[in-house]
Amino acid sequence: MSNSTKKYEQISLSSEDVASKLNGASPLQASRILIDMELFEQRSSLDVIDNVYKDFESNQNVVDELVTPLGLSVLDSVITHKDLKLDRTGLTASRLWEDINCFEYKNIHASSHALSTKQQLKGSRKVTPGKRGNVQKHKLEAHKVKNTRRDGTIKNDLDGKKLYRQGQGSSTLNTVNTEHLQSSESFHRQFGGNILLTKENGKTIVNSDENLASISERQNKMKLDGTFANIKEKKEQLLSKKKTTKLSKSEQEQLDRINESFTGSSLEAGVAMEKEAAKSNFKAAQDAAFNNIKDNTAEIATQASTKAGEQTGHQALGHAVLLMLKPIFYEFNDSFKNGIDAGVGEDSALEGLKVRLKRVMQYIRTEIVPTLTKALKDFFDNFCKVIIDSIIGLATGIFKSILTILIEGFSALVGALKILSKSSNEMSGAQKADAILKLFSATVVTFVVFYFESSILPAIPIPFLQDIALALLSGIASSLVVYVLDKADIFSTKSELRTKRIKEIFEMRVQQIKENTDAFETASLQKLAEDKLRFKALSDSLSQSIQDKKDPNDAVLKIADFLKVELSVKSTDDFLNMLKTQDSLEIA
Amino acid sequence: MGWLSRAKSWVASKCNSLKSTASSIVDKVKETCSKVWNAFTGKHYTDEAEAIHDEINERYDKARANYQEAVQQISQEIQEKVSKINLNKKEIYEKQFERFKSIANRIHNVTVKGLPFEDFFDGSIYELNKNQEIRSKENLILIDFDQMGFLETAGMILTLGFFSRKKAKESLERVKQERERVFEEIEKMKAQQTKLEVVSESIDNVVNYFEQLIKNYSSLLDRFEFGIQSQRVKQSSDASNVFSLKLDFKLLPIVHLEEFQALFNLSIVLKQMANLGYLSSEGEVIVKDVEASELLFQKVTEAKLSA
Repeated sequence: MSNSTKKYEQISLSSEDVASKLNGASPLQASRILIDMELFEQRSSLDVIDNVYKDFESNQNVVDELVTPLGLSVLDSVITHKDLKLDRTGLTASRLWEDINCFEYKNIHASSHALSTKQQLKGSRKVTPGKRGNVQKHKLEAHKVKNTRRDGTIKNDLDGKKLYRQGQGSSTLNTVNTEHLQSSESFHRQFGGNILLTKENGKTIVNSDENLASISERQNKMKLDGTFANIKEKKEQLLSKKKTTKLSKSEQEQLDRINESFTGSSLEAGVAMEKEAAKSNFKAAQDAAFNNIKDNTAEIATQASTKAGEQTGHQALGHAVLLMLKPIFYEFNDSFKNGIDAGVGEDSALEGLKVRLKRVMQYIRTEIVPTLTKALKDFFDNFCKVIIDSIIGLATGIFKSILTILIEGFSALVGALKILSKSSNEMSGAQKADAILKLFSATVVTFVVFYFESSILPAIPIPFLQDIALALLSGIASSLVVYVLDKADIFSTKSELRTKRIKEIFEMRVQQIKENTDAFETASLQKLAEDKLRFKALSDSLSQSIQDKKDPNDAVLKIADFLKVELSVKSTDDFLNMLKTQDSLEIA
Repeated sequence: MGWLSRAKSWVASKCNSLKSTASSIVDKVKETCSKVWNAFTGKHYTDEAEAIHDEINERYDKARANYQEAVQQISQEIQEKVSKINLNKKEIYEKQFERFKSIANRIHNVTVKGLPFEDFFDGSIYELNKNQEIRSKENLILIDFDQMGFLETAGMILTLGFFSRKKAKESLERVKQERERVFEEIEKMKAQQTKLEVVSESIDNVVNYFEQLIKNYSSLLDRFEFGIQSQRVKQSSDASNVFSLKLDFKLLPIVHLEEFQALFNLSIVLKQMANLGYLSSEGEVIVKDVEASELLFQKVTEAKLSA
C-alpha cells in the first residue's frame, strides 16, 4: 500500500522554488508570480476520498493476500502427493503458480521466467547410463571435412599443430580425431531425463559445431569420456607432488605422457574450450526447451506423460491435472479481480460461473486431452467433467447455505475477522490466509467433504485423484467463503482500515500544505523586503542627483536595470546620435 | 356515600402509586436496556458520528468565518492599492507624458505609443468552493434510528442487528474520514489567506515604485523645463531668427542633453510600467505594437463595463 501513497501527495513547494521564480523576473511582476504560485493542488479533497474508496474496491489485495497462498497450498498438495512423486521432476508449487499467473486462453505460452533457472533444466529423473546413442558419425565427418585445409591437413584446435587424416599421420600424435568437447555421455547425464527436451534436441546440441573440436588421437584417448580439466588436475597434482618427493616410475611416465600430448598451453586452451562448450550447450538446451514449450506444448506434454507413464503410471495424469489447474485458477483469479459475472459480461454470478467453467472445459478438451494416451483420454475427460460439475455444485451450495455457514461457523468468523484486521507487520498476507484456511477447515471442509462423498467419490475410482479433488475443492470452497466474507465485511473492518488510510493521507497532505505555505511566505517576504530596500537606495540616489544638478542618467539606467526594462539608449552619444538621425523620438 | 368515596379515593391513590412505581420501573428498565439496545443496533455509533459531525461543523464554520473576514479585508486593501496604481498609470499618460512632450517639443518631436492598462482585482477567485464544504449529515450518516419504521425495526431484530450495526459503523467511519478532509480544507484556507497577505505586500512595493518614479520624473521635468526656458531666452536673443520653432540641440549645454536623455529613458520605464498588468496575465508589456495595446485597452474597458 505504501508505494501507492505517492499518487495522493500534495504538490511540494520549496523556498528555493519561490526565490528562483521571483529572481528570474522583474520586481514589477512579483504580484502576478505570487498569485500564480500554487500552495496546494487543484484536485479536490473529495476526489482523494473517492480514490481511496476505489482502491479498496479493486480486489487486487484479496488475490494477493488470499488466493495466492491458497493456490500454492493446493498445488503443493498435488505435487507432493506420494503416489504422484511429481516433486521429483523438478516441479515446485511456486514455479507452477507463476506459470498459472501467466496463463491466458489465447496465448498459451510458458513464461520465460519459469525456465530461466538452471534448476528448471535439471528437472530430471533417473537416467539410464551409458547412452552413446547421441553421437552422430556423419556430423563428425562433416566437421572434419569442413576443417580440412588445402594441403589435406587439419589444424589442431588446442595447439595449432598440423594433423593428418586417419592413416596418413605418422603416429597417434598427429592423427586427427574429432572430439565432443562436452562428451555425449556427460550431456546425457545432465539433460537426458529432462522432460522438456526431445531426443532430437540432444543430438543436435551434442553434435553441433560449437561442441566439436579437432584434436590428436593421443589427446582424445587420454581424455576419453573425461574432461581436459581432469587431465590438468592430474598434471598439477603430479607436479606438486614432484616438488616435495620423488615420483614413482609410473607417475613419472604419466606426467611425461601428458606433457608429450599437450605441449605448451594447449591443455589450458582445452579447458577453456570445454567450459565454453558446456556453457553454449546449456544455453542451447535452455532455448530448445523453451521453444518446445512455446511451439508444441502438445508434443512435449505427450513426451512428459509417456515418460511419466514409464515410471509410475500416475505421473501422466498428474501432469494433466496440473495443466487442468491452469485455466481453473485463471478463472478463479479473474473472478476475484473482475467479478464472477462482470468479468465475462454476465448478469448473475451463477451464469458467470457457468460461462467460465464451460470455457475451462473447452480448453481442457482441445489442449490437454489430445496429449494423453488413448487409455487415459476417456478417463481424464470424465474426471474433468466430474470436477467441474462439482465446482458448480459447490458454488451454488455455498451461496445457498452461506447463512448456515455464517451461523454455524460464527466463532470461526470472528476469529477470521480478527486475523484479517491484524496489521501487515504483525502477520503477513500468507499467514492470514493460512490461519483462516485452518479455521475454516472446520466448517467449510465439512461441508465440502459431505458434498464430495455423496457426489464425487463414486465417480472417481483412483484414490490419488480423490485426494487431489478434495484439496482442490476445499481450497476453492475456502476461498469462496473468504471472498464472501470480505465482501460482506460484517464487522466493518474494511471501513476502519479505510479511515486509517484516509487519515494517513490527509495528515501527509496537510503537513505538505503547511510546509508549502511556510516556504512561500518566508521566501517571498524576504525577496519583497530586499526589493524594497534596493529600490529605495536607487530612487534616493536619483532624487539626490536631480537635486544636486548632477547627471541623473546613471541612476536611471540602474533603476531600469532593476526593473528589468530594456533601454536602447545607454550613453549621451547614443542619445545625440538619435536626435540627429530621427525626426521624432518615440517613447515605446 | 362518604365511606364509599373514601374507599374509592384510597383505591385510586393506591392505584396511582402503583402506576407510578410501575412506570418508574419501566423507565429504569428502558434506561438500563437502552445501552444494551444501542449496542445491539449500533446506535451508539451514529450517536458518536453525530457528535463528531457537530464538532467538525463548528470548527469548519469558525475557520470559514475567519477566512471570509480576512479575505474581504485583504481584498479591500488590494482593491485600494490597485486603484492607486490605476490612477498613477493614468497620470503618467495624461499628465507627466503630456508635460514632457510639450517641453521636449521645443527641442525635438516626441511621441508616446500605447495606452495605459487598467488593472482590476477579482476577489471572487478567493471565494470558497461550495463542493469543498462539509458534506451534510444526511450524506454521511447512512442510517437514522429516530426515523425508523416498524418494519425496519423488526428487520433489525431478525437480522440480529448485523446490518444496522454495519451501517452505523460505516457512518461513523465516514464522518471520521470527513473530519480528516475538513482539516485539509481548513489548512487550504490558511494557506490562501497567507498567499493573499503576501500578494498585498508585494503590491505595496509596486505602489511605491510608481510613487517614487513619478515624483522623481516630475522634479527632473521641473529642472529640465527651467533649463530649457533659460536656454530659449539665451538662444532667441542670439539667433537671427527669433521665430525659429525649435531650439538647436547642438547648441544646448551638455547638462540639458543629459536631462533630456534621462527623461527619455525614464519615460520608457514609466510607459512600460503603465502598460503592465500587475494582477492578471493580460496586459503583457507591449513593445512597438499600438494596435494590440489599443485592442487590449478596449477589451479591458468592455470587461469593466460588463462587470
